[in-house]
Amino acid sequence: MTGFRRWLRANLWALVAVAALGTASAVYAFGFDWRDYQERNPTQPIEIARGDTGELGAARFVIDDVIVLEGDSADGRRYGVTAGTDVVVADLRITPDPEGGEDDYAFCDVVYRAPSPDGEREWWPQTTNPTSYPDPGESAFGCQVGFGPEYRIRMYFTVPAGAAEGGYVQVTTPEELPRALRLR
Amino acid sequence: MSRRRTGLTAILLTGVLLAVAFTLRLTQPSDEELQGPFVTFARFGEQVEGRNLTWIAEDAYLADRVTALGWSGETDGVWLVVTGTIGSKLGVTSPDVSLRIGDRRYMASDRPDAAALGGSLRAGLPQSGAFVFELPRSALEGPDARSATARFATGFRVRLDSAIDMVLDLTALEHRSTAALPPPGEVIP
Repeated sequence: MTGFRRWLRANLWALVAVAALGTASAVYAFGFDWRDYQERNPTQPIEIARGDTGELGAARFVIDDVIVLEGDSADGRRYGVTAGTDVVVADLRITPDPEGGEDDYAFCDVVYRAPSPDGEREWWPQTTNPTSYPDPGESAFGCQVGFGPEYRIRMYFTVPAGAAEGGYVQVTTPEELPRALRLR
Repeated sequence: MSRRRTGLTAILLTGVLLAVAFTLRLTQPSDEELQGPFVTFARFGEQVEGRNLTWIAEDAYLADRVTALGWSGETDGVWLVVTGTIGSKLGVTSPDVSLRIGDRRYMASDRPDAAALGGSLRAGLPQSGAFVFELPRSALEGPDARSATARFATGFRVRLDSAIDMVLDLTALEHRSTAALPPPGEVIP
């Protein structure tokens, strides 16, 4: 038996302990951060097709329509969309928690996301209609799922020309993360 | 003889391991270095990119007074005006822009409000305009003024993220009595 093999045999349990403790330390050090990152971001997407109902907690979401007004098109020029940009118009129907009371105010985040060569890009809705595209008869202001009757909300997202392609409307609530609805 | 050799080897090995450990400890990066930003340096006229920001510097000058959109900026110090185009690559971002002179750090002024850059950026829709810094006149004196660094980042304390730095020699910049800030606006690609 060579000297090295003898040394290995004599220290086998110590080496096993070092390997096991090293692995455990690495898992301990990174495990919390990884789990926190996963749980605080929309890492569990749920795909919802147009007209179908998606649920986040007790709230329900339906996307009735999504249109893209292209600035460099006849429609875009007609509605005053800035050349070189597109405006995504999304109509949602939201049913808040039917058992919620007025003290149960809970907001939801709605963004538009689309792929790009640099990675997925995200746009927040604008508070006012940036075009002359006709507003719907009634539209809520802001996304709220804590209580109240079903309501409709229209959201506008200004994106660079062509950037809306392949995109989706993402809805999240802080309570339901990491679950996120992807409405197309 | 063999036992003596083993003993010498053990002592030698211990010495080597201690030397390695000591060297590692001496060369170990500080926490600041370990978690510091990944810096890209900008030059005038060149587009540089960080993880989420893009920046093209156009010009930089000093002014005793700046005006913009009906606003007039008076100061006992001096204004540093840095013009250019800043953009967001992936998401909504409010750029955090500061100027370091020696061990002092000045934030881009929010006194001009919407007349200067610094508001939120939409992905893929960069904005051109100016960042302004209100500086004491003493900041233009001394050797540190020759290597002031403007930093463009997505947060005040950049931790394991990118930052764009631009070195400016404040003593060599044009000094105007009054300067009209270029109105900020989205640059449609």
